Amino acid sequence: MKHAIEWLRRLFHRDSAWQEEIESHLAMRTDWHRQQGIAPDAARTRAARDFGSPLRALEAVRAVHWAPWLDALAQDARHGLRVIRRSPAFSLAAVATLAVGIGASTAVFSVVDLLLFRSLPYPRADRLVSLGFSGPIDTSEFNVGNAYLDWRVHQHASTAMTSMYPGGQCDLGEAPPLRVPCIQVEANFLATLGIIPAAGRDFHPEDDRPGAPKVALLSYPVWQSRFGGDPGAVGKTISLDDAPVRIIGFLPRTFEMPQLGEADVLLAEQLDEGVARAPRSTVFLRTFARLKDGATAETARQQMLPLFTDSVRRYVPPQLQREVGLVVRSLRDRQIHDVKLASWLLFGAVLALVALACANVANLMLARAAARKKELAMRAALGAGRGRLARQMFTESLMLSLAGGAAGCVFAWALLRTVVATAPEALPRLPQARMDTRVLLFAIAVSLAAALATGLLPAWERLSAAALAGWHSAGSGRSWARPVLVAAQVAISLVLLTGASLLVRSLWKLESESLGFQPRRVVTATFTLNRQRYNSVEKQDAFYSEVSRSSPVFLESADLP
Amino acid sequence: MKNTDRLFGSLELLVLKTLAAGPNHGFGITVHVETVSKGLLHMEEGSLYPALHRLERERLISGEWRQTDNGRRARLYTLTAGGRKRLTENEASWSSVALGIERVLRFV
Repeated sequence: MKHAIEWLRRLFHRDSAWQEEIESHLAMRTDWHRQQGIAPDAARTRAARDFGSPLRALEAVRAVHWAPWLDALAQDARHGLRVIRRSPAFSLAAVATLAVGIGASTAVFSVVDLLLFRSLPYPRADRLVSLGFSGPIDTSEFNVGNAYLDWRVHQHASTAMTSMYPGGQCDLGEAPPLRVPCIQVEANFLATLGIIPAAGRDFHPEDDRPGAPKVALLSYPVWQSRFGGDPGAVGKTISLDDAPVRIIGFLPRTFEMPQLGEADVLLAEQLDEGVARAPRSTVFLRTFARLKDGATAETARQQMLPLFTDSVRRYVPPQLQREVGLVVRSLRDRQIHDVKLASWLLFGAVLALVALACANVANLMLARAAARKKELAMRAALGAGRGRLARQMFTESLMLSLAGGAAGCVFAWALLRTVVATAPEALPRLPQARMDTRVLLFAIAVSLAAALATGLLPAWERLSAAALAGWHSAGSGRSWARPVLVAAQVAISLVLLTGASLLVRSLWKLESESLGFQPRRVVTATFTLNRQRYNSVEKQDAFYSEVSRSSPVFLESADLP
Repeated sequence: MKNTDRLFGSLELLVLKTLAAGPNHGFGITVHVETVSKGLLHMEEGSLYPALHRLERERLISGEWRQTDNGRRARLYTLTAGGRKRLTENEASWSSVALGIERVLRFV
């Protein structure tokens, strides 16, 4: 990649040097006219007239340099096409093999790119961390109200620390209300993430005081669907859980919650210090911070450790103190925590698949060598240099690889759509996966790599055998490349097969594992009840008994709170 | 006299001959040809540069960026050994062509 950039830079540099040469000529001619006593402006005009069109001259200079190169390229391409057409079965097999490899890797890349490589939608996202306690209660780090209130005041590891309640729902609107994800966040939540509302304003510290009038920021989709994207909707009042709440702003389209949860409504957290500080308080929070420049998650963790130890001593029940730890990790790691390894494994597996496809095609090309040795020896005898022959063969494999890449992109697109349609929640961000420019560039890069892998090795091999030994060893010469390729193919296949069979075995075990109850003929269902009409436990119980009594399909029913 | 370059490759010959006298840049070559021919020959400046680059690709001349006497940066071209050889050949063939044309024109 670095070399390619350097090469392009030199190319442009050369072009600008040609321009500079013409400009230097014009300048000298202008000087010359001035020495003859002509005024500066007139001298410049005359110099330009003497020269004619500088653009046309530059074009002609470019043509001098590019023409031989383009001629050779066209010649190679024509010859390559002839060779490809002469053996359609071989070409089809090679293109199909590469298409599967490139297609699978492109589809997987489009998914893991979002998880592993693409930057998160916050300014300077690499500075953002998620921090808190790790413990047996939750798979992600969490915080307790007491500890957070201490940390917020005494920490020095970050420039800003913020918090939110994990999860929450509310009923939006009246008759009939809609149950939507409704998250309570601290006033500095958006500012810490670096997000500015698309319309209206951010929360003010006053909004965050316990008992302050309720105000809300609504998500972009709600803004579009309920208000048609009208900025004038700021200041209107909506009904949340049958209470009036004033809209103070709308979130930008690209906004996403740092823990990737859904949020249609953001409310001020209004964390009540009295409640949070109360003995046996159960205020749980998610906390995020923006690190200082130069700090890493690890250094921040070291800095936070004394505060954490203090919090554990004060607020965690003694029997649990051994089970909690401090976690500070990047936002990306927080988002993909349990699929990070899986993503890398998946990515590695498809790269192995590409390598396998390349080895396969390289082997096919070597196998075809016997038929072409005579042709190559003939061309070498007629004076084609080794470099020229190598370029010819590389052009052939490049054409096959690019055809494979194009077919692979179609395959990847189909694969991606199938996977997203069948299992949209298999991985975080999966529904966001698209075949965009970045992904297409990846496909092109893989195709070029495949061209190098399948073209250079055979070119090298065949040239040493054909061009040097010539006519006499037109039979099958002993070579080291084919055994090595076969060994590589077997090795990669073995790794992939072992991985796949282990996966199938785990899946089978998961399916046949005893759940501790009889799952046959048991179904689960969730009912969303209007909070106003069913505002007491008795009313809710009455609803459930009504459902189980009135439905003839249920033999028995049980409910959980 | 325009279109010098179309006349039996005379542009190439003029460039090579000029550079035989010492390294020079494109502008210097046009001035040299105009002065020495006492204004009879006028080079088309726009087509000089493609010709220089072609000669450079054929390794008959080699170019290098230098500072000129009056402080401007210019690309100076030098005749190579191959260029010197080509010049000798072209001078010979030019003379015979000129002689041939002369004879045809003189025929009454």
